[in-house]
Amino acid sequence: MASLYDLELQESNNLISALAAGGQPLSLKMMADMLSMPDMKTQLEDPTTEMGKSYARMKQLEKDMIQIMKEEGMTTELAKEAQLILTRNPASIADLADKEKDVIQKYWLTKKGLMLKLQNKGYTAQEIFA
Amino acid sequence: MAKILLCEDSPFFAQAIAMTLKNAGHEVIHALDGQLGLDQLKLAPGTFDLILCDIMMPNLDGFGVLKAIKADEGTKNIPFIFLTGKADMDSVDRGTQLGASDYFIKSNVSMDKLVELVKKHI
Repeated sequence: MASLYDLELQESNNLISALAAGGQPLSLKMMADMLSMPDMKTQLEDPTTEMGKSYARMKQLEKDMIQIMKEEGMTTELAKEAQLILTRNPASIADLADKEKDVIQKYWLTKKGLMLKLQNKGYTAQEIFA
Repeated sequence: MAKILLCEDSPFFAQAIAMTLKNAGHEVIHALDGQLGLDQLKLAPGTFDLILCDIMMPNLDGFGVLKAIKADEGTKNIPFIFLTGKADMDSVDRGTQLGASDYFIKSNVSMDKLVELVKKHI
């Protein structure tokens, strides 16, 4: 049976990790790490390369995500708290204490608003969950 | 140099992983889901040195890929590393029991750590 964590990841993949990191998509974190290597830095900063286009897009996504997190009331703390609860693998909401239920429900509701705004800005699901 | 199969449904993340590993001198073949990953193994049997595999993927998830690989004489000894956003201990335990060689959680990812992890298993 799928746990709540499975449902979260099936619906929005790595987004919870990005939100817990203050809006930085995981792929951008990896790309930013590459800037320390001169050859990779050149590719990443060249907007005519595929990698350069992806890097530019992910940086824009990060900016928009940070802005929309503020607008929707999605804080890093809320995402981290939800992530801690979900990674314990509760089978259902009913298994959670009342305070934890509130956290998960708030997180999911806020996430929905955030995802809708990002999609309205033209981001695809693949980009949002990158 | 190793030939690595990367099963990852996020094209952006896969691009970053592939670039890192290619920069370290490896060949990377990318599959967007588990079934496509198994298809790649069938297309070029005996040529892969390592498999890096996400858990949550459409069509066939990482656990399904690992089970299929372990059930095949031609692939059962290829080192298999989960590269995943699933940060729960149940998944780590399950992967270990199924025979995964190692486990890497994406939120802890860094270029150096990834290159070292691959080096450890090839």
